[in-house]
Amino acid sequence: MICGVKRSRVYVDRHSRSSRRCERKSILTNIDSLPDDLLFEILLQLPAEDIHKGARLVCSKWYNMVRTRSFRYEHIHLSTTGLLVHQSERGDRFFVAMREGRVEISKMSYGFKGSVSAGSGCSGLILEVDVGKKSKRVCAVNPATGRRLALPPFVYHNWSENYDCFGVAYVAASVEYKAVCTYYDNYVQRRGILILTVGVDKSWRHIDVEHLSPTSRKLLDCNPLTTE
Amino acid sequence: MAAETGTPTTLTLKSNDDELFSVAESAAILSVTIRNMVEDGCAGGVIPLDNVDGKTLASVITYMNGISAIPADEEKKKSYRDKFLSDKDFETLADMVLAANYLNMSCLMDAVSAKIAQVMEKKSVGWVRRKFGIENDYTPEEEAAVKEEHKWTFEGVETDDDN
Repeated sequence: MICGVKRSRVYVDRHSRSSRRCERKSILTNIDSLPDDLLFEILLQLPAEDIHKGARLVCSKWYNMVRTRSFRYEHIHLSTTGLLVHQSERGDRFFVAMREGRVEISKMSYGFKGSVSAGSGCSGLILEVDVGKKSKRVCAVNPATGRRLALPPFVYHNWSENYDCFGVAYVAASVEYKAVCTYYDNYVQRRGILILTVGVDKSWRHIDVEHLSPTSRKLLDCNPLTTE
Repeated sequence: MAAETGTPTTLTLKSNDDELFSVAESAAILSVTIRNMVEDGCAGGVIPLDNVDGKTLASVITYMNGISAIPADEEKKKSYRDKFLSDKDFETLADMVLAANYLNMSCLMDAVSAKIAQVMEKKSVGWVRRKFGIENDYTPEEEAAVKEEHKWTFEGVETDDDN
């Protein structure tokens, strides 16, 4: 008669926790006594901002939980999909979210640092390109949490600096972000590609485009650079 | 399905404090745990649910009946869930999340988790610790280091007298 009872995701023995529950009657609840994977489900429902400003700082257990790959992966998949619209002249940024058939537009409060010449975003991460006098600095930014990560600098050879484009893509399989830069090489008179795994690679890797068809190569000239 | 006797239309569930509940099979199989038992043909008599108390089970059954009466309209189901959870206190929600997990009811699980998370939104760290009875296990140095990671992101959190 009791077959199948233990098929649920986790078997929780509430009796073993009952004594602890009684001691805590005066406290609103006993979230701390919930099993870890239920706490995981609850924290997953928090907006990124609250995880960063609140949950992370509550205790080391929560901190370690929200830093795991599986948490970040699940959280991205629950997030609202939308477009980040950047009006370059005025510097205004809007987030256009598509939720349950409705379109919601919200102004983005995150202020980019420096002069952003080109940007690209994917799965919550934005590439911020600061055009300095001598070099370009690229940062990967998570606007929800405010975290910034400076990407390794470029080594210029024969680039035409005004013709480079940047893109960022999320690789679900490995839970990694890849940043891509295409540039125009004056010496060989064609475009080249540099790629970098965000937070992993220490320098940009050159990708050979020799084998690409002329049509495919032409796509590299398009700005903004889109990634799949 | 119980082949010889035909599919039973009503199931009897027993809570861990020995309360008995009758529930339509069509509503009860929202729980994957119960559905598996029905499919395995072992739901003919009383189904003991050792990890759910009577009060919580009564609530869950109300939910099962309510949500299964709504035709496939996600918007209406969502508004039913919101209404259903709106008057639940925290203790009840914590019991329900445990029950939903045990019964393997993902829709209730997600809704209750979201409701609990909602309480934490825009609250200060001190408020969350106090409300949920969480012990701060950071040493002052560790806490300072975690805060220091991204210090300026503290703007805009509701302030209170404790932290």
